[in-house]
Amino acid sequence: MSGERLQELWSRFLANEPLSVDEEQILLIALKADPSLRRELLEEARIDERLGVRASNLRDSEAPIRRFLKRIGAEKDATGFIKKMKSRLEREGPPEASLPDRASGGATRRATGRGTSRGTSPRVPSGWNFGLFPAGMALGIVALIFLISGLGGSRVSWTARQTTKPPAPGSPENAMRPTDVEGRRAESARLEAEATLREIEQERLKLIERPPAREGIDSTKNDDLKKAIAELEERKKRTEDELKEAVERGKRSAVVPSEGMPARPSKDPFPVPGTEAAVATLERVEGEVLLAGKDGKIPGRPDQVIRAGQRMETGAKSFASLKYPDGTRIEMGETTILAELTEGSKRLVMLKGTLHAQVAKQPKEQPMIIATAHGEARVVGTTLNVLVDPDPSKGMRLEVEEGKVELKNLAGKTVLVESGHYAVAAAGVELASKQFPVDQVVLFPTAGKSAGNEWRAVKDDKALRGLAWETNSISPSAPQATLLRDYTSSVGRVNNRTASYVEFRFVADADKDYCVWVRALCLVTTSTAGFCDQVAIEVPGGRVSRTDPAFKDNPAIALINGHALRPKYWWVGGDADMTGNATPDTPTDDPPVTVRFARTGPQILRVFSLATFARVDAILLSTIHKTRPEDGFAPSGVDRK
Amino acid sequence: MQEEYRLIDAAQEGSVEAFSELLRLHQAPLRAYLAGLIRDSEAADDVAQEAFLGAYRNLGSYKGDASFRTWLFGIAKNKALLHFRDEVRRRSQQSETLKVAVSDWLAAETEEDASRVSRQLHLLDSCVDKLPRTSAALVASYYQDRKSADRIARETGMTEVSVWKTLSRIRQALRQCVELGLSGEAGEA
Repeated sequence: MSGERLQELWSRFLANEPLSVDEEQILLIALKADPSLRRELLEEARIDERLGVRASNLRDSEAPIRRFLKRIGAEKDATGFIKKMKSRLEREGPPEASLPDRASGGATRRATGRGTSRGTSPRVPSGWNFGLFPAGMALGIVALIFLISGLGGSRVSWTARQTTKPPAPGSPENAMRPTDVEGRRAESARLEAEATLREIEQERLKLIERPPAREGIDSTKNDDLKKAIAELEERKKRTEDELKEAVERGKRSAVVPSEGMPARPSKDPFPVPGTEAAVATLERVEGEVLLAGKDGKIPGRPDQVIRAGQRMETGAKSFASLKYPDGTRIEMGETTILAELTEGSKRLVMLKGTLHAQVAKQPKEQPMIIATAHGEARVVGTTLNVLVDPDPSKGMRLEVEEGKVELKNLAGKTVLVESGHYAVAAAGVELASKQFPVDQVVLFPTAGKSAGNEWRAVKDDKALRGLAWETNSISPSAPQATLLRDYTSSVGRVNNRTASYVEFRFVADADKDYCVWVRALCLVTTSTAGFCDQVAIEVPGGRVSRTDPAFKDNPAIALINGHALRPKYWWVGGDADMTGNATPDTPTDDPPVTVRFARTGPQILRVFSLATFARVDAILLSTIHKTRPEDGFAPSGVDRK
Repeated sequence: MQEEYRLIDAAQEGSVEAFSELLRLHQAPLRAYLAGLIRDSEAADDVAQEAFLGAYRNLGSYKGDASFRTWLFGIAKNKALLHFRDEVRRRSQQSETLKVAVSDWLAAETEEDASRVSRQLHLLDSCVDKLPRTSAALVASYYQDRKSADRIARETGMTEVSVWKTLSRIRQALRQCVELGLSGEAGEA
């Protein structure tokens, strides 16, 4: 996020211009993150207010004085009015016929009330039921339409709801009954009405004394003002009636319980949705993924189109991946919010959380921009991680796996971050590119590229990211001798470099022992499964801790074997069944194979099929997990120790 | 000052005219002080009115120990605190919004005293006078003429976004100018 953008947003905030939820969040996070920026902006707010006061004084310095004098006058008037009213009523008595017969006023209430509900609980009038039912119906229908229109972008009016009226206060449910403390009640009703009248007059004065609103955005304010004044006038009349009534009843020792005003219809909570351009498509959804637009939030579904201006949120233990038309893929970790996605030039605002992005080559003059409240990353084409810490003082962390990314902080300083490096944009932190220690790498199918025709990507709901690499080039029902021949020929192809493989590129450190865990599902359940459940892995830039006789000439290749022991996806790190007598529940594990890279930085890992009939959905290289991860263990792409 | 004492005496004897005269002297810094505290200028002006009324009603209790302005500011501050208390109650169910956060931050710094605020207003005047012509014109159309950013953009050929940014830059420049003036005054004193 650039300082200029903050300037603009802050300026609009100071002007009371409506800001989107995301814009507010951007400001809020920036203000929280950087105390010196906050001081500056708050001082600017003071200057803004002072300029406002200065301008209103230049326009009319007498206005506050006039307002004050009017208020003092009004107080006197109100007191005078009440006195006059009281003495008149006491003198003349209330002429019953002359009382106004308002639906919300007291006269009707009194007339209907007396006969209906003496000593019994009030009967709910049928009008109430009818009033409620259509209201509920209308809400249900409109909510449904909005859900649909949120997808299609059509416009819906909201008239049905507005026509639903609150129950009339004059209904019999509000009936009163005489009591033995009537006199006292009438007195308190009278005092209450008097106080209300004073309040109303003061409110009215406040309203009419306000300076005219700024043109343009505030024009509705002037309408609101007129409406508010009209409402006050209406309330004043009602209260005057109540006062008359209370005084009269004080004499007759009858009382009307005071009650609230009828509820005003609330403001339209569902603004009309707009139609925005498609930006990307939701690929994969796990757990709680929400798509928020002007029309509220809807759960994200695979293949759903994400439109400009919408925002994406993932909940705890949730994941989402989105794909742009040019192949750029963004994976969102848990509790992550992305906003302001734009089409064409790729730009998005990341409010919090973690993301992993594989960015397709972008035009040099139009890089992809990932903005946060702490800075922004400009990406031309690369693989990277962005982490926005919930603690604003920790800022934004950019990790580049491949390629180069420019990171700019709020102060406008930029740094070029190369592969294997990271930089942090945060208040009070010097912007610098540093090598990041990699303790763990998770390779998901989306990060792999296949060479040859033995592997293909398949969708699989049971796979960690809904996607797996499958190889099934043999027939598992073939005789064992055939299977063995297939296996041997696979080994030969690996050794003479003609085998198919899936290749993953990532960043890892030199001189660390990474345990290799391959998560896979063997697709064969027959007795020959043991011939079809091994893969080979190769790390061209490193060495493996344990080679297999089949690949004795290549210290960069290891065998991972034994997935058939369980009929589901699970993690295998070496040979899960070396002794030949393991059971599915207690497989005898070899310790996992470890790999060591010669150089820190970009690395390659290849997976080969060895007459395999299985699906691989994740590979974990970890200095943390030295023993088998739980079956349910689902690492995030950007895990850190 | 003599004039102010005379006005206070007259106001204490019940002259609304004299009290209005006192308000004329002090309303601008008082409103500026409250506006800086409350942010919502309408609400701030409402609180200012409450403070005027409070001062008017309690004029008898003013003994002249402190300056009238300090006394008035004390009342205003109490009214502002009442306002904040209502605000807190009103928004106890709301989630944290930017407005809420900003008003909390502003309210947290209430140490500004009366004389400092009025000095700042004076300095602001002279700082606005020192602005380059185009900036001064922008300030005049935005603040005095209350034109919208959109309209200013149309009239000047700027984009609306750059109107917002420019306004922000001008305010920051004014802030620095005022701060410089304050520290200069402190140096002289």
